Amino acid sequence: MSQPNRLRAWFIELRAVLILAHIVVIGLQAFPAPVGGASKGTRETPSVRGMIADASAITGLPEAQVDALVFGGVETWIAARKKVLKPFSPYYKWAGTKQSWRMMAIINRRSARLRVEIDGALAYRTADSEARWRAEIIESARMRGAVIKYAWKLNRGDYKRLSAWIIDEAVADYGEDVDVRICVERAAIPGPEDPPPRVRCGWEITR
Amino acid sequence: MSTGRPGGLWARWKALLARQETGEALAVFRVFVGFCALWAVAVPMQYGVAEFMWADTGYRGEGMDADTLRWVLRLGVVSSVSLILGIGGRVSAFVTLQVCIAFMTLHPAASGAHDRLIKNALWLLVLANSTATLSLDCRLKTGAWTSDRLVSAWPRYLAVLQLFIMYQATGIQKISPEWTPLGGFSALWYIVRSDMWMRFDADWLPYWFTQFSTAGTWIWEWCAWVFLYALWCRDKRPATHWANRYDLRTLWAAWGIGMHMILYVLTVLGPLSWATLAWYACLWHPDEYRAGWRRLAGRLRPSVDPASG
Repeated sequence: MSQPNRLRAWFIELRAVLILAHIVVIGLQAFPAPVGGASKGTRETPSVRGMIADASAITGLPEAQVDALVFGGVETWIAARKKVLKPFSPYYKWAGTKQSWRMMAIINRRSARLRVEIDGALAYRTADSEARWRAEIIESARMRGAVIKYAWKLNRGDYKRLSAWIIDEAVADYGEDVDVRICVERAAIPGPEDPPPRVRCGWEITR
Repeated sequence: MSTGRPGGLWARWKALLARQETGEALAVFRVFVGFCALWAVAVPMQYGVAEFMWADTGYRGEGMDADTLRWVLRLGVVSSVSLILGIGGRVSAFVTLQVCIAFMTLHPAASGAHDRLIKNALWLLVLANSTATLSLDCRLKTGAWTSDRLVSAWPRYLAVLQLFIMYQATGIQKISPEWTPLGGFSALWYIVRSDMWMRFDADWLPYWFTQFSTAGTWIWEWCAWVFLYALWCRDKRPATHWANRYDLRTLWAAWGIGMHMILYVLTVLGPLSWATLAWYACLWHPDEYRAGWRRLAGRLRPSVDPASG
């Protein structure tokens, strides 16, 4: 085998310092934290309310008390984390080495299907094999992540922009006189023993 | 600057970083990461998805000029392919990294954990010498596809640490009751029915199977420290130690591959499974790759019948 390189002493020291610093900095960011957990939007989602109700039933404490305990702790935790990470934020930003690993941490028991009707007929509906107009774009792997957020809460600005694009595409395909109706069908995902859910189509935008 | 007391923590840390090994593990890692990066930049080029998400002509009305975007995407494809072939060394990794960072910052909502994994892997490939062997660079320099040239081992150690951090952090943060016995291990039941993740209608899937997969995923992520312990045992404990005798690390990896395959078949999560499994390449020492290759070549070589000679 070939001989190892001989490195200068200062380089060995510097490398040891930099790698250790990197591990500490990314370790701090990766340390588990309920980021976003204290926001009003998250607190009021049905999934989180369900978790609080479950915890209340298990512990016997009133729901309001469980809520105060959980979110009081979450707020303190997040504030402390923010202070610790602040000096390193340029490093995370410019190196692009984010360590956010909250993957499916909270299970959303609600689904959101985008529904598009053109001239009164169903043209597109999420995951519907019969309604595939522009599905290759709206359901592309990257867009799935963006659209799924509608199941948590509506990002009004993003939804409006997506709807405007859909209307432009419909006009391009069907002409200036086209009628378009866009909405999001939201429903609870039924558990193994639950009856089929009631579906409501909200956030309607028409042309 | 102090060099540290011999045998002290600082001296041991420097000795660990000074270790060298041949480059097979990093080369395999490079090839897998190259394919994941290629997926990340090439797939959105279909059907105008890239322009839709990232160009100023897309649905958000902000982002790159469409022509510039197409050129950057092509650059990303060329640099990813260079990474797979092992040409251009660290420069290929750096260019691919910059392309990935650009797209992932343009529309953060359309970015996910797989993007973070690819970016972090690319950084390691910028710092590591991943084309010392099994690469076009090696072929051009030495005339052979493989080389015994030694490279720093610390990038591989950092890759192992990153894998541990990712799994342990995600396991600890799975706080929904559905992941735990409290929620009947029902998480995967809901995930495969979420419209935006489902690959196909999962009504035929038995509840017990989703429970088994949920429990398997949750317990295995919480046990990420096991593979770190197993690797420590391989380094510091004799071959007769139970963790080495049963190759605890490979058992943990096999479990992980199984769980990722179940997720891959049932859900559409982009290249998450592949972007995660790419890091597994660093779990094995280059000597183990060499030994594995020798065993495989021995089996494939036609056996010579002594009587016929």
